[in-house]
Amino acid sequence: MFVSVKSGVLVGISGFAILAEVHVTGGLPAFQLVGHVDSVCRESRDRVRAAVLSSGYKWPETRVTVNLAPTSERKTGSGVDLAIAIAVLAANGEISPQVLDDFAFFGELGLDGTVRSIPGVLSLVSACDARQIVVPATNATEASLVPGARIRGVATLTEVVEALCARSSWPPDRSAAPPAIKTLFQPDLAEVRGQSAARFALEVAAAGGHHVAFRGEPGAGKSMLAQRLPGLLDDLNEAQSLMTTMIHSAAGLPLPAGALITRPPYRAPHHTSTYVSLVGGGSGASLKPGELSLAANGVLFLDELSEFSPYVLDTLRQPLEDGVVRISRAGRFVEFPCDTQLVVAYNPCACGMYQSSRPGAFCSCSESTRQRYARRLSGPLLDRFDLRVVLQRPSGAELFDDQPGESTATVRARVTQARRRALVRQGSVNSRLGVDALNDMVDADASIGRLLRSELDKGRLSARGVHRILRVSRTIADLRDSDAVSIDDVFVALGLRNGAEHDDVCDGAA
Amino acid sequence: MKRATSQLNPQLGALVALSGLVGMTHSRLGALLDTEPDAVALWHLLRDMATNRSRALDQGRLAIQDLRVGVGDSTLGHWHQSLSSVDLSRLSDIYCAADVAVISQSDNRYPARLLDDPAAPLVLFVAGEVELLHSVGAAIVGTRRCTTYGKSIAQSCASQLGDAQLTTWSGMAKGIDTVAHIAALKVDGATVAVLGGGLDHIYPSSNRSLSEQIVGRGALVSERPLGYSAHRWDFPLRNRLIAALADAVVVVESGESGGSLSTAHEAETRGIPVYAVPGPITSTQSFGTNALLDGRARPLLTPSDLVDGAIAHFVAMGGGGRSLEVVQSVLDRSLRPADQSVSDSPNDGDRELDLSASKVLAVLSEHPATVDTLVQRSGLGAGVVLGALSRLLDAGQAVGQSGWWSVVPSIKRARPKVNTL
Repeated sequence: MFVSVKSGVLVGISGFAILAEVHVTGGLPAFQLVGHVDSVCRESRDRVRAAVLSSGYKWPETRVTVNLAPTSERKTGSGVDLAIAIAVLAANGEISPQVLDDFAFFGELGLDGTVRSIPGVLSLVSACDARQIVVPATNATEASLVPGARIRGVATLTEVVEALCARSSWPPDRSAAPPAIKTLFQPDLAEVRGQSAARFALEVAAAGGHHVAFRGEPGAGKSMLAQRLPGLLDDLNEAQSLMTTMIHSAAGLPLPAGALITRPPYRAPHHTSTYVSLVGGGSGASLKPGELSLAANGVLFLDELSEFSPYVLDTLRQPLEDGVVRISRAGRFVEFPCDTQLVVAYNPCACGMYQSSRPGAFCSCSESTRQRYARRLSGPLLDRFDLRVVLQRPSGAELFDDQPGESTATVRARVTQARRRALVRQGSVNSRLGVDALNDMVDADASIGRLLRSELDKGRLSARGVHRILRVSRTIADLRDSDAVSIDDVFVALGLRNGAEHDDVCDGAA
Repeated sequence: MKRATSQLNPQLGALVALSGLVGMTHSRLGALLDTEPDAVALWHLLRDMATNRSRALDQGRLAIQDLRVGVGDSTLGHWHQSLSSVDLSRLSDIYCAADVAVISQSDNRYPARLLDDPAAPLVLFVAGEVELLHSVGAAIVGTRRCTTYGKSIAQSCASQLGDAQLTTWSGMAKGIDTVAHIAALKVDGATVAVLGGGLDHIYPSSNRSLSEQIVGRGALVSERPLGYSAHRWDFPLRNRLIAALADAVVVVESGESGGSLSTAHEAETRGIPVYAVPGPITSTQSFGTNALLDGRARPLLTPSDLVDGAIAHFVAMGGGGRSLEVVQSVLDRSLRPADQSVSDSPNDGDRELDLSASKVLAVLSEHPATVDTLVQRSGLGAGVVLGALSRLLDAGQAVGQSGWWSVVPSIKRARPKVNTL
């Protein structure tokens, strides 16, 4: 007896539709699972058999062969357990095979017959063309984000079999079933005292999607500022929401209540992270998205940038430029989106006091330690930051006496307006502005060209820097609600880069 | 560079070899030459003596005890090694290949003002523009561990010297020295680095590329031959050479016992004007300079003081034995109105500073400040202040470093007037 049932596996973050084919025939009792499966998937044999028996159904006392087709793609994960169980039961005459044509099944089975949640349901369901899709009850909300199919959330194997045999009805929708993750602590920009330059840089970064680098002594407030960037960003649009949810789901991360991620994600991996954990990848058949992709449409914050392994940091360069991570392994190739905004924070030297002009602050690093420390970050990586701000520790007066600065809500209103301007004008944020548009800006105002040329000639700006300055200038013009970029905007953009740029030039020679 | 490096005559070759001996200071070598004026003979004698100390003493030709040169056995061992490793006949080729000029006191390229110096080196080694030895200029020296303040003062001093077409002398050590050399090169000014070791032993090694730039547009000077690596005690000697060659010295920052204080002392004994940059009394890097201000140095109130001091000294010394040509050109320049160099910045003349920029400049003139402080004091927005600072930077009126901004001291700015009681 032959039965085939629709299911799917994850390849990177995308779903891949497969068929679970079962052939039950005479012969010595045996259970074969074939079709280019990896070890996790192969364990499915034992789970499925135990679950079927614990649920009180008969297991065929003959030869059972399961094939996951097509065999070209390597299958991983436990999400096909339910499909295999259903197919075996159908082949054994427990369920009528005809009713299965409308269905696809996803879910991991426990030995007692419970249906457990699996990662990547959103992608799996999107890749599947069945009229009714059976998923673990805990994934039902996520699955219903995909329009079209009827989603059946189930908790046990028995529920599925009984409903398919029409002996009972499908369990009612139990939405909001996943354990709702705690609402993230939303820090407010008003809590940051002083640091008006850095706050301004953050506003510009939020409005234009620019990468920001904060350099400064320990305790200056670099991390505080970075944590407040997502709060300045608008809610994700529908496509962005689905994309980010898909990535998070495929990585097996908990999703918020309602399953859809609507706020820009914020990821802050520790500096001991490996390159795989940052850009994605992994061993065997499961290629997981890294932090860079998890932060897609949101903010990736790398604190203590100098403590990251230089090799790890260099792997970030190409993805940041292309907006996509391409992972290639022997015989496997996946792409992860990584359209993220990078915020980094680092100290000027190991002790953090180098070039601090505060009275009493003195760098205790030796010259060679300092240079080794600085060299970890030199050149191409730092060049990718549009905004480079140096922070000094706030004074006691700034910390305790000053009025609180503007709140997140106030700044966010301006940011949203500026972002809308950019989107209406060119359909993208300013950090993605093409070179043609930049050249138009220079053509429109001759004084901008003169200024940039003189900056280039003085060696204060690189050719790449010119483009970055122009993009930031565009954002600054948007923030003040102007169609034309003026020379003042360019000066402000230069100011947002000069603070650190200057030292690096000096240190290079000193 | 094409240079008429004449073949080293045997006498000069022997002098080169002798000046490369560890512990062979100019005074010790001078004393030895007083006894044995023939350098070649002295070289042979010292080699023999180093090989067999007692035999040389027996010969009695050199009353080494009388000279009180105090040469110990281990030093003699060193001397023996280096004397026997030198091949006098190949020296010419080596210096030709390295493009290093070897200048003895009889050479007319030797700076005349050094000839009268009590501690004049017997030989000078120069790479780059040899004529700069005759130029007029000032030395900028200071601590290796300088602060942002020190850096910015050293920078403006060097650029003012460069703008006034005076030479910036310094020692190419880390910190102030390096900043001064770089700043001079940036304004296309002449700069000379006086080294403690041979010209092929660049110390610190991080300044190797700087040394190449200096050779291209200035000069490296040493009294030690190629292959000599500087010892601790060579640096005070180097400092006296800087002081002797400069027409004014400024100590930008120095701790209580910095090497730059020895430069100041050497200049003081030679009657060369010494300036010290006043610093906060809380800053360890200004302890030395502030102490100098207690009667031993003039305060540097604006960077142009250094230019004025150097020219005044040069005039007072009647040119210090320089050629008429040099004297004439310096006098010509110093008589010309000085503001031409200031308005060199292309964006300075054709655009008046806008209101916000002048407001920021006014606040900044009181004290160096961070952007935050400027925002508070000026009452302007952060974006406006950042833009204004960029304008000021572009106009060459302010510099920023590590988030701290300060005004560039300008020649135009008048010295503060103090009513004397």
